[in-house]
Amino acid sequence: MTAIGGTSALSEPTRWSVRASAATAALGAWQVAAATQNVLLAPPLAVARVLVDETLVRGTLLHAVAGALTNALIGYGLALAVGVPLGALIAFSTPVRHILDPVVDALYSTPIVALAPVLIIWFGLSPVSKVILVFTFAVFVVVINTEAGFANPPEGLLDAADVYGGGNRFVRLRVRARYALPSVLTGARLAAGRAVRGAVAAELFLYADALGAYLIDSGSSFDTARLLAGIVALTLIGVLAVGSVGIVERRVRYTES
Amino acid sequence: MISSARRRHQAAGALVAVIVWTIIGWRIGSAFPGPVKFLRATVDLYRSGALIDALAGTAGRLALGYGLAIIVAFPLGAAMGLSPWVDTFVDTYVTTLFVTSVASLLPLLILVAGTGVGFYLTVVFLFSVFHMLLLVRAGLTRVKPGTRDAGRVFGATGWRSYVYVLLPAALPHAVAALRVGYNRAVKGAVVAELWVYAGVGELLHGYQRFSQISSALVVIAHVMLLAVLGARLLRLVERRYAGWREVTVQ
Repeated sequence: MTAIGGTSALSEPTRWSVRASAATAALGAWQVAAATQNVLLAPPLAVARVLVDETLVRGTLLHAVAGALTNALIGYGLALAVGVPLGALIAFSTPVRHILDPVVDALYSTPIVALAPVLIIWFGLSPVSKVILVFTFAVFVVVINTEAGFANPPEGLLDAADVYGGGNRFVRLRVRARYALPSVLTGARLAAGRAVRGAVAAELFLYADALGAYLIDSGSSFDTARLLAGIVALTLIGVLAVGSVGIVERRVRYTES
Repeated sequence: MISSARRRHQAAGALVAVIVWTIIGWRIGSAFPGPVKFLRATVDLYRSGALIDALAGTAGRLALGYGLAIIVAFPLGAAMGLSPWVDTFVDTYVTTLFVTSVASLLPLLILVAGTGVGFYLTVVFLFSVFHMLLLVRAGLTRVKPGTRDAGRVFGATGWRSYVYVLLPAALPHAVAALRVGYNRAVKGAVVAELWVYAGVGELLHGYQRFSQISSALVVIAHVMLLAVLGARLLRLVERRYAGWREVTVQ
């Protein structure tokens, strides 16, 4: 497939050494910049020290991230509970598709953060507004991918179901659902990343719980080592969230050829 | 026939939405303004000129960062698509930064870049550049070997294979990259403005403080318009130049 370009052209050891040199180059440049250019930028080693200290020794960061993740999880669960049925409904019903397709598209491309001030007026500075923000961050990507999964099942699959005596609607629905599953899970994976990002945005733009306070206080006291440690931890959480749904997704991937 | 059914459904949907909106607005009262209040707030905001000024500022900041992201993403993405060395090297950074919540970088960026133009430039750039890089690269790596072989059969070797086969084949992804990058850039601009209370962000914070919900909703609606109209425009470009193959982006 990847005749030109693509990573397949490099052998595994070469690939890893290129990756390692990229990482080393970045860390080296960071170290040099921290030492010579900008007094505000903390060097990588200091960040690593603070990261270990704040997560393992004192646990401030761990506690802060756990608090934000609770909101992320609730909002994510709601996004799946609403997004999957809604996406399926849009795929099955033509009138609903005509009405909601442009709406979902528009909302998907809208900066959700702009809703933060309105959420504050409606729901106050409460966890409810945070969960709603996370939900809005995550739900549309679920709807769109669920719809895509249910939209065009290959006729061959339905015919095969017919041939083996599964002509009734229930079996056809099950076949379509099984075919849609990978796409639904793609939506779930992308939504997991968006939920984490939504939770971070909620901390910064609605009101600051432990995590928002951690980031904002570190920034306003010019403690960039502490700040960068927080950002690194959040990145790791994002990778973990997306990765764990990705594992499930790969297990059920349906390949046509 | 199909399009007329679509139009009928949409008209019915819009009618139901307006009726429901009116009823909810009437029942809840000031916290959820109905269509009439919304329209009145729109007229007021246009008359005062505050909205237009703020949106113009947002569009300018957006254009700067988006432009820079395009300038970086297209050559770099192409290099990634063509050379596995460049790809592996740069991808190490892209995958790391792609999953990073750019919003969590805000407290840091404001220390490093200040609150001037550099801040907006950096935030919008960081929001949009990675999606565009990945799409441009995908455009080149997903050119089927058969397409290239066909080109070679017709004499497109050496540089010709790039100019006549590879780059045109990557065009659908490139135009899609412009569209997705624009969407991300709008998000970046709004996030940056909310963080430093500028442009649209300043308006929204102000209306929130005094619970002027209709004005806030009008501003949000216009931010949506900015995002949707830009995306529509780029989709037209996409149909024009890459209509033979629609790229679905996740």
